[in-house]
Amino acid sequence: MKTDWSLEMPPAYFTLESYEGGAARWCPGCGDFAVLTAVQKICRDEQLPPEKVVAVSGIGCSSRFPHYMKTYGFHGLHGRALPVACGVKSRRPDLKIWVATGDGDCCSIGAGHWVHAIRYNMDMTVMLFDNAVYGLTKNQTSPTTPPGRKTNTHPRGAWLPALNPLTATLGFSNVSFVAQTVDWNPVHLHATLAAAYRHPGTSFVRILQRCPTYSDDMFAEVQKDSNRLLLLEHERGVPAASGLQRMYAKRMEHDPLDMAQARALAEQQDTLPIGVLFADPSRPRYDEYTAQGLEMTAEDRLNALESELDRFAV
Amino acid sequence: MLPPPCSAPQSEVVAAVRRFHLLEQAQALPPLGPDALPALLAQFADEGQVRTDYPLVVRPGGEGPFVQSLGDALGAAAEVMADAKILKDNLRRLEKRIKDGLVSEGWPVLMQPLLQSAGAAMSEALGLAPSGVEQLTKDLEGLHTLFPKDALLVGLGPYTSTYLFVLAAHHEAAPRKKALSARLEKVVARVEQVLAVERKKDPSAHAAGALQSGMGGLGSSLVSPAALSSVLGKPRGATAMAPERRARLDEVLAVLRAWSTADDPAAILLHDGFLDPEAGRLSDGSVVERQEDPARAVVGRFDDEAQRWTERFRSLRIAELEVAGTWDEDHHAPWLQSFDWEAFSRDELMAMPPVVALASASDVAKGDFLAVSQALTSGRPVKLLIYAEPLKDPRAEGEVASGFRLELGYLGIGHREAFVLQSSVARPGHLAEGYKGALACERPGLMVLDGAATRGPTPRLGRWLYASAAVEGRAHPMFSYAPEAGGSWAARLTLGENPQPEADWVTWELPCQHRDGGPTSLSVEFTFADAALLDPGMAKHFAIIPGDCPQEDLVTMAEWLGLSDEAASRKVPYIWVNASGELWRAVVTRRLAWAARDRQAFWRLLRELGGVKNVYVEAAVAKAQAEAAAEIERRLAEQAAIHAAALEATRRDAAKEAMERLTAVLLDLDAGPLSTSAAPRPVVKAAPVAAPAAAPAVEAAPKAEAPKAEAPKPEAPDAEEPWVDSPLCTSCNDCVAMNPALFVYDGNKQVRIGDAKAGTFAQLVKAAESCPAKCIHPGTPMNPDEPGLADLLPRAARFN
Repeated sequence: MKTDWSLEMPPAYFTLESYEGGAARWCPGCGDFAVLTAVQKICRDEQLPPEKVVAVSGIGCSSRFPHYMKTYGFHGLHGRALPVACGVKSRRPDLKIWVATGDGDCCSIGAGHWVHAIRYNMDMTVMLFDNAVYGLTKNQTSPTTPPGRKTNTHPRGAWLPALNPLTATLGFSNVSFVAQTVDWNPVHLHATLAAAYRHPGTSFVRILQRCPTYSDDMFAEVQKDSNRLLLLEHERGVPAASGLQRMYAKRMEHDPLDMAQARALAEQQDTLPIGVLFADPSRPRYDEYTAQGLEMTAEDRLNALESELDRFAV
Repeated sequence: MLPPPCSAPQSEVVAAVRRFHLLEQAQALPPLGPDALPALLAQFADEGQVRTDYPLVVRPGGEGPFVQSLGDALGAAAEVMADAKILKDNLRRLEKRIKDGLVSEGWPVLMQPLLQSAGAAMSEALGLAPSGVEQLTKDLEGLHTLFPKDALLVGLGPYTSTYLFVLAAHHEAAPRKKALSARLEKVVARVEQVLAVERKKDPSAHAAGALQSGMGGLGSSLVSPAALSSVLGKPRGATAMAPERRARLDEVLAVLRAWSTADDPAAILLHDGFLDPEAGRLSDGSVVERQEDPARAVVGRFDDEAQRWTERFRSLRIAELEVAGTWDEDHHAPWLQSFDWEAFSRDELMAMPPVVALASASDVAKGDFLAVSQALTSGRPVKLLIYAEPLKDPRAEGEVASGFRLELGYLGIGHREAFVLQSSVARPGHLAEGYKGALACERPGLMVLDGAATRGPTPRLGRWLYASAAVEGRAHPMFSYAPEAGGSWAARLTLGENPQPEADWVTWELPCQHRDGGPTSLSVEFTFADAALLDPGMAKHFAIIPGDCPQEDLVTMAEWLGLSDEAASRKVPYIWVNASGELWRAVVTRRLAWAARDRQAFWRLLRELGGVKNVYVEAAVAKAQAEAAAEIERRLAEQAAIHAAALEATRRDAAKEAMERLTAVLLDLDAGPLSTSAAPRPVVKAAPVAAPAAAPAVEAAPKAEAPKAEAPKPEAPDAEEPWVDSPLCTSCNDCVAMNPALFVYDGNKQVRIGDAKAGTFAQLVKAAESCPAKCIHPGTPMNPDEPGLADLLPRAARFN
């Protein structure tokens, strides 16, 4: 018998360049660069064909993300990154979705979609670029701006307590993955996003991201004093790499299935937990439902529709 | 009863028996009556009372066991039912009714209706109380659900073995066809989708007519399709596919649409008038073709069929590659151009209907045997179904008994590459498994079946007993040879369900009654001669031995076959027969006895190859045992020698000690007390250990010292090179934008120093200051003359 190799293709190997869609135009020193590189690295490590990847965003600095990925992309309306992503996933479950959304885009105008997208739990990775300010529109107060911080809309300082995206997301029904990381630690950023990518369901990752123009000092203290961060470790979370362990003196073994502890950690103000707070892969996924009948031909669909309509025949 | 005495003088009787045995002259001996049967089979004379494996329950769809006897199938089904006492108590009645209701000459009949009618008839005949009827009806309904709708009943007739093959082919192909059908349906739908999208790109899709039909009546009344058409431009965002791709898709879609897996036959049967397809209903679901020389035609027919399937699978592959978007003209086109059946996957090859040549063994043996040989080494999965007559050499013309028989199955094994099965309808389990093995094998297959039992009119005692006798009498031993099964004979050859494989001949206890009235029993072997007795054409090889014939020269057939040629030549073999209810010895002709000897030799050969009573093994075991025994002997002797030596030493020591004691006692008497028996030992001071040899007078020359390197001059320290803690780099482009030669990205898009001399110290410091990750370490200036160092050095120190 001779072997049939006709179905095999010469192996294609994707490098970082395969996912680089042109020079990124963010301010020099912007934390978004790190996130972009981390995502491109994960795509490369997983050898995802670029045509099987979709980057979806809303409006904001970070939402330029799809332009810099040489994959499919959708630069949506303000606050509408998540519904667009859900729409793509609901009928194309084979695509890998990366959602780039900012603190304004997600937590303010898009907050309604945020609640439901988390509840739908479709398989995608949601990256919340949280620089605690509206940067694109030149320094206005965003939902996550800490009180007292002076902005163009609150020259005497923000008045309300900041919205905590972690506690909020952990409170939504059917939440399946919540993590937090920082843009200035590429190792942890990459590991956290990789864990989020591997998680089946909506993985919500809040990335503390510096805006070199308007909030460069926002995380200066945290950056300087690594004791302000608490490294969460678990075999089901971010793997405890020795390099990371050396960087952070404060470490804690946290089981991502422990919701009560996750909520308590998310509430903390003095030390910021980084790593996976909550992950439960068993939560129901709406895309498994919405993707039914994909193999139906147009004729099948028409027949199904007709038979449904026939039920109303008198 | 043992035979009565004969009136003739004994010497004449002996002479008559010998004459018959050697010369086949039967005048002086009473002939065998037409009702004579081998003694062991007489109890089965009433065929109706014999419960056989038939009819068979066959499940071609793949649920449950493929083949089961009706009794077993009903029993197994009833076992899983709770309660159902009435049904369970009357299962045999139900079985009998189904059997009686079955009208089949070996073709399959749907089981469900028969089960239903037999159940209803039985329920009526049992005369149960109304509650009992209700319960039984319910249980019968339950029993129904335990059999799949496509369950079939197959009786024993001329076509049974052929049908079982076709059903086995169906059974083996069914799951593969199902998977193939799903694969086909999916890919056709996807290709249609692709083409539907393509059609929409056609400008004609925007024509007024197309828009009108798209909008329907109501839409057209609200919007003018003509006006809409005029404003719609060329579709954007998509270009039409290349014409050659379009042609390729159209072509494969046409092939795939025309392919309906449900219409594919279960098997393609080639025969030369050997079958009567109409009478056998074989053309239902199979293709039956008449070919002059089926064994010669089978390879060509397979190639034709494979060509058809090649076209299908090639199209399927192209379509799958196209819809996956991985079609690469340069890579795939050459492959698929030379695509043929040899490149089929196993599942694909198995989904093809097997091409089978049916022929009788005598046609094959007397005809073009070379064609069979070529088919068996063709490398193609063609199958040959050969019907042999167990009592006959396939080359013999008319004459039955022969001292040699051509073994087609054994010749098949000689081809090494082919799967060979020799089986019989008498053991349907073995037959079905053998068929499945042959079908699963991607090589040629030769199947030799007992055709005598099934072909032609029903023999005496019925087909099943007749076929069973051939198996029991080693006339048609069963075996299968699977060349792929392993590297040894033991793995490849299996002897299957042959009874009592350890023995040359099967032995059974025969209960009988002595003339004097007392019950007794005989241990009787069932030999090839016993099996031959069932054939009416073989009656001339037997004659009754009168009861008073002297016993000295008479031996049973099995004993005779165990004798050397020399010893056998002086003896006359006989078998026990039952004629008119009485037990007689029947003398067997020398010709038939030789045929039996040939059968015995073949059986011994098979057994040895199959690892049963293998001479090599026996010799190896004997050798190992002898070695083990010798080793034990050797060790025993060794131990005995050690023991004897120890004993001797002990004795010697004891004697010496006794003498010493005696001496001491005697000395004590004269010399007074001695302090001890041993004089005190002088304390000998050990001589001081000789002092180590004096150190050599001449001191070894001091080791030549390694020429000392000149003390390094305190050179001006090298410039400390700049470096980047790359893993911390956030890829922000800041430094790279500043000097792309000094700062370069690595494979992970993290910065490292490229050419340290390609930039100024000022740039390094500036980059370090602006780096958000603070991972740039500028070191010290390469160029000590760079202006502004006084300012830069303290700034750089923060990052070093």
